[in-house]
Amino acid sequence: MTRLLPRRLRTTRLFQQGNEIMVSMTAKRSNRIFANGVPELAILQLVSRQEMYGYQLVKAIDMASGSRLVFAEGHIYPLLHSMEAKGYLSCRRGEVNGKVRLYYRITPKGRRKMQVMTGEWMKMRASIDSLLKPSTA
Amino acid sequence: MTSPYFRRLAASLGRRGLPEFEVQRLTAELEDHADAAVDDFRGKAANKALVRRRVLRRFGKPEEFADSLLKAYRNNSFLWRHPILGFGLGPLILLIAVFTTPMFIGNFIHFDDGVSSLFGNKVALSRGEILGFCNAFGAAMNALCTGAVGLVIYRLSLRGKCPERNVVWAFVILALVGSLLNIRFDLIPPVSSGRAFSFAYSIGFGFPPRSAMVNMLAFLSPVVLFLLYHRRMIRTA
Repeated sequence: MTRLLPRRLRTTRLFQQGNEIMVSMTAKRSNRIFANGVPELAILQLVSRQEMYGYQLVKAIDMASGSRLVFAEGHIYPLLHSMEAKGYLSCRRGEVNGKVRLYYRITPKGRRKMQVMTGEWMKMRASIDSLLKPSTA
Repeated sequence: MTSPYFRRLAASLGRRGLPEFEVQRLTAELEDHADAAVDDFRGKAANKALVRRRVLRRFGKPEEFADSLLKAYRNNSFLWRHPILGFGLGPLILLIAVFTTPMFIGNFIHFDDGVSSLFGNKVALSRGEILGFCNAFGAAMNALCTGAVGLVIYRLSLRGKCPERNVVWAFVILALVGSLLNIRFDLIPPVSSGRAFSFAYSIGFGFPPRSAMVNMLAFLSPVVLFLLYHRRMIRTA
């Protein structure tokens, strides 16, 4: 499966390890749309359905991707905070067993961003699909 | 924060320059993450301490984990990646841009036409009074321009969760340079027929020809904004 990914992609943030695609923080800054956009898109899609807290998000991504996408904790929280600062997410404080828990939900600006990113992803997927199709000539 | 692991993590993040409010929020969320993971796995393993140790092992050592968290902040923010450009050169470039913009806008909207009709035809004012207005307007522009740049830096710093020491440098540069840059409006003979007079807009650098109190406004606006930033950080923490 790792060989299916282009060599450059293997060295960027999204890389494959065993059967899991890890989202790492140590990689070079290239393939922005393909690699950098993935965590944001996944988060926006999930929080657009219901408000979620960090652990719930990581678990939901894990389950939805059949454990293929694994988001490191060191990546997801700074990303959530950055997305909140950009106005894509809003945050609510809740209390569970006397401890504060932060719940994230999508904002109208985040919903617009999600639509744009989904469109870009679909276009990217279509181009890759057409590349992978066996040539008829 | 009860766990020694998260206390060490918070200390490491603080040493690496992450603002206090962000350190507290991040460690609280990560601790909640660890608790949720422990609760989740408790059904599968009886020993809670063992499960917790496993969850924390997944995070790595606090110092290494702090490094990886900071890498994520750097990846998400331009100001984290380029502090000299963002907090050193950025305020200077912005200041010059904001101070010179009225010059270009004035050319386009024929500012002096409007003002000369205001003073020349509708209101009878002496030359001294018009000059007084020019001085006051120039001073207000000085403070406003510096304040506007300060506001941009304030917003960007809050958004990027940047180290406080960088923000201090940015506001020091802004206060000093902003108070030494001077906007001045002067009355000059009309540049075209039909006008009572024209205005000359000039920018200078140095101690101002007018009262130093006026430039104190330009000096104080970044200071006030920094105090607001600091207060916001304390309040959020």
